[in-house]
Amino acid sequence: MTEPALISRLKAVRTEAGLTQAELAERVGVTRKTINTVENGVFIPSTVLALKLARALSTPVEGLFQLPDGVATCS
Amino acid sequence: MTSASPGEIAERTQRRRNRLLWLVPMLFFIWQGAFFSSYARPHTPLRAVELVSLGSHLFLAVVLLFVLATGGGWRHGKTVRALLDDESTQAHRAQAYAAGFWALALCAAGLYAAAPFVQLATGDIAHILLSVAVAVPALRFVMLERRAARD
Repeated sequence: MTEPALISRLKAVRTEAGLTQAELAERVGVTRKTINTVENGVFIPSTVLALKLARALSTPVEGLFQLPDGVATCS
Repeated sequence: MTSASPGEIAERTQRRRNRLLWLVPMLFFIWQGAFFSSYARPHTPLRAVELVSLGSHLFLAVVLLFVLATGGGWRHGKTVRALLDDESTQAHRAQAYAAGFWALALCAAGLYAAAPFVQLATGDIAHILLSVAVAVPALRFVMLERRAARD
């Protein structure tokens, strides 16, 4: 099985915040389907959407999304 | 009675759009089969029924392409339309267009390869290519949207 391109903690953070997918979707101006695909790792959100999600959940973006270990970075 | 939120309206409209983009291309393909099986040869003048069929085919193709390109929901406000065309929808549309491109390229290659053996009029070729260009992206789009809506 291939490793996901992005590790998403969105579902856990959303649940902790006591929000449903629909409520979070309404806060960031997308449909529930988009939240669902981000949570399931099917869809990688844009930077803007990631920042909106982080703001809506009062958490840094790194708290929601992380790169898997071993992903090469350029320095 | 409480009024539905834009998100709820968008979700309902999304489901309707998926049904439309699933059922109509199916109908479209079935219709093409029926059309070609009873089609008068190009050298004979087209009958009124064939002209109507060709006109409706073109009309339906344009409607489907328009729904696919704009996301639909025209009778709703700006907020709902924006939700109907949100980020994941745009990504699905891009993937659907890519599938349409490859289907069209393969279909064109097939027709090109068959050209020395099968005589097809320009109208027939346009008909086949238009059907593929409309139906494949529409079906791929619905597939992606349905999968995205599943928990």
